[in-house]
This record gives sequence, structure tokens and C-alpha cells, in this order.
Amino acid sequence: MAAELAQLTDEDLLSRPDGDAFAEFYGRHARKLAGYLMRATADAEAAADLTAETFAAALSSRSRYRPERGAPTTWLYGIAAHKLADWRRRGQAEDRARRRLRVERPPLSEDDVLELDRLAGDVTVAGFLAELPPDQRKALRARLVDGRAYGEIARQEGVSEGAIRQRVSRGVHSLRRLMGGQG
Amino acid sequence: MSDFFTALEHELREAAERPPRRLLDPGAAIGLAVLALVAAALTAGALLLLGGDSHRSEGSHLPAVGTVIPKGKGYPPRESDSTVVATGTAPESGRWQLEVYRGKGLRDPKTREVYEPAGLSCVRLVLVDPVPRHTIAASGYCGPQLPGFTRGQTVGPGEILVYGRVPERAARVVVTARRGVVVSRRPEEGPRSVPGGFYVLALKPSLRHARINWLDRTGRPGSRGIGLLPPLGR
Repeated sequence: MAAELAQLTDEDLLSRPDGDAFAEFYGRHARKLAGYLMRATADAEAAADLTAETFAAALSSRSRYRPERGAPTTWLYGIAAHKLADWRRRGQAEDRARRRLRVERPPLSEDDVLELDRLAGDVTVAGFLAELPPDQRKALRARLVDGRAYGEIARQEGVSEGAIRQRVSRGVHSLRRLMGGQG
Repeated sequence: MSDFFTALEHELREAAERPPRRLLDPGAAIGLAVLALVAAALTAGALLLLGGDSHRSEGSHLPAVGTVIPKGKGYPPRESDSTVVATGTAPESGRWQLEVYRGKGLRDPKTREVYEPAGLSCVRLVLVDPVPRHTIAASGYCGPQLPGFTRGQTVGPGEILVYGRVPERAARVVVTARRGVVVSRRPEEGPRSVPGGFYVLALKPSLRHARINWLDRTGRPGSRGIGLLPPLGR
């Protein structure tokens, strides 16, 4: 079963109703997401709360995920960014999704706190680039990493220069949101 | 391996398998409470008109946790007032309710020898739905050590039902077999009037070398565990 699930895409995992499929999705992304939340909050308890709440919200709304609106990770980090913004506003993490699903946030051991610190250190721009939709990722890389002109990228991609500018703009916006947790 | 990530995975996996709880805003909750009171009044009226009390409650709802079933009522008739501490539905055996009551004792009618003293704390699992080729409607046990960690076990159609009570501080009930933890469940809280937690687990008869235990909030085992009876304990 585990081997079979490992072959599935994130989209396939989210489309299945069983707990094993969601556990596989969780296993793929939990640590990276927790690292991102730890980096954004610098507070292990808050990061743990937000990780649990984000996955609980993702679990309860996975049937509403639409691939045409973005990659599963973009969707997941979108939920996390929303929870994070709410945490900043209220000074505490929301727990509505956890209460609804009766998901208890496990306590943190000293080892857990150390691991969250380490995971926060693993968070890089390159790592977040991988979370962006392919068209935004490609445009951002071509423009900001390779330093190519908009027109040149547009010709290569067979789209207008305006479309490339829009992809870069959206990519930067998404990156800023992912890195800083603000939309 | 991190305890936090593993434990959260367990929580999410279990949450995926059960229906979500409906969260209400205060206004809606008050409205529903009024509706429930009206419905309860209407139901009570209907029972009075019909003469009430059927042997089984098929087709009806499970009683609310905290409901007291008076002595002599219900099916099978209760030997003393019984309090419903948890309800649920097993995959094969259907709806169940777990009850606690004070035992009346068991005595040999001829020799008067006491098999079980009166006044013990007892737990009873009642299967509410009629089950084909399965005649055991209730199973229970009594003990002086309650509330504590105890286990009862009965055979359902295609599954073994394991049930019992855990101390107040129990955060999880876990069943382990050869391949490790096969079930990890949060205990049911029960009504405020009855201390401790409760559990009912439906396990596959093919499970072998199974033991049950409870864990505290830090994940520490609360006891040495209890071996389950055959076929689970083989």
C-alpha cells in the first residue's frame, strides 16, 4: 500500500478519501511546511500549532482542491499563509479546523524543537521556487537568475512580453508570500 | 524520528477516517438547542401515545452520552440503572452503546455461594442493531479496580469488539500486534458524572499477538498492557 501511494502525484493523493493517501501527502510536505512556519514565526509552539491547523484545514477541504488553480503545494502553502496572517493578527493560532476534525496537536519534545529549528534553517528561496507553478517558476528563473530580457523569454516561450511580465510579477508575489507569510 | 510529526500523522490519518464534528456559532447552537427540546417533547408525547418501549431500538437514534437507562428497561433489561458513556457504529456489528452501572452481584441460587460481590463497577457493551446469525446483544464485565484500565472483548460478525475503560489522564488507546501499532485512538470522554475515558474498537479476527494499552499525553505507556483474548491474542 505504502509503495503504491508513493507512486501517486500530490493531486492523486488529494483526490482520494482515505487516511493513508492523506498521510502520504502529509509525509511529503509536513517537515518543509513546518520549517517554513518556524522560520516565519521563530516560535516552535506557534509553528507546531500552525502546521497542525494547516494540515487539518487541508484535510477537510481537500475535496475542494482544483488543479487548474495551481499545484497542490501552492494550495497548501496558501492555506498556511492564511493561517500565519491570522496568527499575526490575533497573536494566537486558529484551531477551528483541528476542533472540527478532533485533531489534537501533539506536544513538542526538546528533540522536536531542535528539529523545527533545523528545518527552519533549511528554508531557502530555491526551495520555495520549487513550490511555484511551472510557468511562474520558469519565468522567474529566466528573468531573475539568468538575467534574460522579457522580450527574449517571451519569444522563446511563444507568448507575449506582457504575459511573461505577469508571470514574473505573480511569481515574485507568491515567493514573497511564501517567504514572509504575507499576501 | 520526531514524535511530533509522527503523532500528528496519526491524528490526521484517523481524522480522515471519521466524520467531522459540526462546529456551530452561538446563535445557531441556541437555535438548534430549542429545536432539540421541541423534538424531544414531541418524541416523548409520541411514546406516551404509542405506549412506548420496544425491545430493540432499531430505527431509533442512539441515546445521548449521559442518558440513564432505568433498572428493568431496555433490551436486554438492565439489572440496575445504567449510564450511557459512549456510542458509535462498528463496521460490521453496527451501532453500539457502552454503559456503566453498579453490579448487583452474582450468587449461586442453590448454594448461595457468591460468585461476584455486589457493588462492583461494571461496563457493558450493547449492540443496538439486530445482526444476522449473531445473537449476543450485550457483553460486559465488573471489577473492583474501576475506574482504571480494563478490557472486555466480544465476538461480532466478522470482527472482534474490544472495549473498556481508561484512566482520566489517558490520551490514546493503542493496540499493538506483530507489525507494531495497528490502532491508535483517542478515548471517548463520557459524561461528566463518570470519571475516566472509554473505548470500543472493532478489530479484524485475523490480527495476531495483539495487546492493548493506553498512553499519556507525552506518549508514555500507562501500563504493561493487556493481552487480548484469542484469536487476537494468539
